[in-house]
Amino acid sequence: MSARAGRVGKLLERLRGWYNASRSAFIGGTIIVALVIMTATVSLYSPYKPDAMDFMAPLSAPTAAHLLGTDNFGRDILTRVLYGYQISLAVALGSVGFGLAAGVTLGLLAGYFGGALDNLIMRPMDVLMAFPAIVLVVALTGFVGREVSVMVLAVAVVYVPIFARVMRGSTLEVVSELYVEGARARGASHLRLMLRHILPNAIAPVLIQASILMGIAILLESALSFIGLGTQPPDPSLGLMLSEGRSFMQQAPWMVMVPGLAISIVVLGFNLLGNGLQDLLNPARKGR
Amino acid sequence: MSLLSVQNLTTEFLSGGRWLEAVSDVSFDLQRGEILGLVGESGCGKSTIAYSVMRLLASNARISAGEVWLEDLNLTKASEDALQDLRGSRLSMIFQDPMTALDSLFTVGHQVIETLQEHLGLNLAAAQERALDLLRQVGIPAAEERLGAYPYQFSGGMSQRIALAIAISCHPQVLIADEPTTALDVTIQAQILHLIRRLLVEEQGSGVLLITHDLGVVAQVCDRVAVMYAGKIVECGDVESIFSNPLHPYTQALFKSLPSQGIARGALENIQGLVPGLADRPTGCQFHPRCIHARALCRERTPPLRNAADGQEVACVLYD
Amino acid sequence: MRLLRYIAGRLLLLLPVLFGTSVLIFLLLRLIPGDPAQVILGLRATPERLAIVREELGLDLPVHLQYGQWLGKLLHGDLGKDFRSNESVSALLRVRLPVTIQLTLMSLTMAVLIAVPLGIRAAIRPGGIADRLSMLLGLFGISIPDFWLGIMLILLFALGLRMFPSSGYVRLDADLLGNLRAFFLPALTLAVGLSAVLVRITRSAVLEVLELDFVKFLRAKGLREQRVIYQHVLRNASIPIVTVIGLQFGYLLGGAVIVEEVFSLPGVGRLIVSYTLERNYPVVQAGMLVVAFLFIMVNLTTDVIYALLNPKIRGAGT
Repeated sequence: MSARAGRVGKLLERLRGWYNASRSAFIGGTIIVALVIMTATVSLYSPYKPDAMDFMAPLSAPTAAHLLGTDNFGRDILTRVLYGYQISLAVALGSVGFGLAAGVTLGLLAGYFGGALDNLIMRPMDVLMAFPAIVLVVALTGFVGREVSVMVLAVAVVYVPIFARVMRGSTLEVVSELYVEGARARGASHLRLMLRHILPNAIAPVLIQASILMGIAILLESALSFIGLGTQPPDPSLGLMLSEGRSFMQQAPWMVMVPGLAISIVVLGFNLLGNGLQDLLNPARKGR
Repeated sequence: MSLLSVQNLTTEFLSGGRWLEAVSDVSFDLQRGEILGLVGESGCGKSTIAYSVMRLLASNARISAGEVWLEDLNLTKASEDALQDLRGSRLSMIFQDPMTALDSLFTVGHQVIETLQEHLGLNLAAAQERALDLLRQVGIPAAEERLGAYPYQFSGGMSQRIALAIAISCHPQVLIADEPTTALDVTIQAQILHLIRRLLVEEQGSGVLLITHDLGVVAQVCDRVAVMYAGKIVECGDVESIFSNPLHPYTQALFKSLPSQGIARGALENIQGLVPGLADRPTGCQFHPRCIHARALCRERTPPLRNAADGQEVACVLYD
Repeated sequence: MRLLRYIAGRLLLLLPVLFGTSVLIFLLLRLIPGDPAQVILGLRATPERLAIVREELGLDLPVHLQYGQWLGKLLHGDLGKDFRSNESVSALLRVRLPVTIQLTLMSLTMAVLIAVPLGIRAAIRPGGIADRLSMLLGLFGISIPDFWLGIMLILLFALGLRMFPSSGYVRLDADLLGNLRAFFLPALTLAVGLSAVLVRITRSAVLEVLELDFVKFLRAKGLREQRVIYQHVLRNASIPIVTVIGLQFGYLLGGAVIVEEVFSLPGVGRLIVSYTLERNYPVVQAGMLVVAFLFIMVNLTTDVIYALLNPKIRGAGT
């Protein structure tokens, strides 16, 4: 009993420590963890299936049975939002994951070796950055195919140059540090230097960027689904729900309000987390 | 009546939630036609006095006690509007690094002219005329063309001349010069000091408060000198008296270290220990932990500044 | 002279990017699974039409020759053809481009008018009301999806208060007031996200400049605080602000794609979306080229403004 109380106390203490370290990161992290748990377990507690239609209650305003109302097919909006998060988070995780892996590799190589290899890697990155993200994603999904997998890869393509730039800059900073020089003097191989010494010390800014880009990926996914190039009906994507709700926005404004708010909340979470981590990494720039 | 009178000034900084004294109970007077040197190591509070007089302290600093009078005007009570009118006209200041004191995006002419327009209400033509005159006075060659030049096109010495031209443009009664020659090399140093003496003291009879860590600078141009240690004035008097007969153990130590390298930075070689930081100042006489004459009494009593010899005041129990 | 050399240098740096951009856009057509001509014309296309389109697109040539042919046409101002309507794409873009340009310029103006004064006040008084407001704007402005914000604005100001039309385009030369009313909500939608970024950079740039030595000297010489801030500090802070505006123009162009869709404005963004949905690819390629070109030119303009603001690069003075 007391051991358990001790453990709870320790947990609370650690939480308070995190909260004090960065309020912004703590709130952001809490929002994300809560949403992930809610969306991962939605099938366990939701009385509705995401595509179950209730023809008795189409366009129902929020009631005790449908907490956030129903859409034109009588589908429960809260349930669909919670399932929609699954798609949003999966797309964001996938695109950030691929983009991160490729971008970090390229940025590390460019920053470490410099010279011709640097140019060979970074100049094509400039080309990718000459397009607004959404235009590139629209084109890639439009030309290649309207599937979730294509969407993930398209967003990843947009992210590669961003991650590569951050990683390259951060590598350049670390490469000149004493411990790297020391390891080099002891005869460490290129690969060992890059993976053991540079990567762990240069990755922090990239991870902060990753948090912000998770949020942007969710915005891109919903935008793409909103214009009809992303997730296809009847899957419950938040962007898709918004575009379907537009035709009913005067009779049933909750159809457009709820999905938009849902997107905003999760993106806000990632932005808060990213900002907070930024402050933690670089306290001098706090609030700037 | 003195030109500038600083009376029991105490200035504090906010650090880690506590207010710490950077300047403690400092008093001195500046007369017309006089250059008063304020000497001390970095961190002793001499620049803080300058900013307290100008009322340009940063937001984490405050004057907690004392008064500053410019003739019959109480600067510590003056409104922000009144202060803004005073600064640059009756009360001017120049800084240590002339290369960063000017706005790099505007021509030097603009920066002289805007001062003239602000305080004297001159029209553009008259202000231009006067600006040209000022640049000639401070010795800028080809002044007419240089009015349209940008700060990056000037050397450090030339930039300090321009800053001086701006500072004297409205005939100030008091000039505060905060380490005005520290960033310059020796020959230029002498020229700038000479210029300050001639343009302000000799031609206008103004007073100059010259802040420096360099006793050589004091010897060159000052009439009187006040020596500061850890937020307090420890000795004050005529330059000749103090240079020929320094009384306070700290002043004596300063002079002993003079031939080697002055008191540029860090430890004085013939005194043990370091200048205490704001948070860990000792009780009693601030200098006692490093003083070779220290007694038990020094830990308890803070000696006030009192007359010790003709034209010389000192704060030390040795002379009680 | 020095300025001209600087601009020439920038242009030279842009050439490889322009080249790479054209290659990328060209290659998009090769990414289409199956026969592009078939996809563009649809399943019911006659073999004759298919042959013509293949010929026009140069699909029967090896890839590098195809690119050469395509680029050759581009350089002669021939952006290709809409194979369904047989209209030239240039004509299509001539109508669409002014809409997008007006939309982005209006929202840029709005964002600057909102963010710069707020950012300055936030920096002057840290912890004050403006500081808090700017922090909220900086956070929420980048978290709210612009298409949703657009819909909410329509709900409130168009359908609810009936102050603005909910959609549709009025030509500038036909009815100035009607045109401005039609553009107000879409421009505001776009401006919110941009001002979130701008308010942050303005605040931090002003804070940084306020700590510089020359500000102390300006105050020591008794310059009125208004002039210290709005003339000297702002001018110095404007260098990073302008740089960020240039970088963020890409955000505006991207946002225009979605916002034009929400407000049914016939701009280049909507063209890219609707022609992508119809699989009318040659038109999409032309639209992308225009967007990338605009973005690159804005960055060049930013570099030039940057140089103009900075006497050292400009080579000013005597």
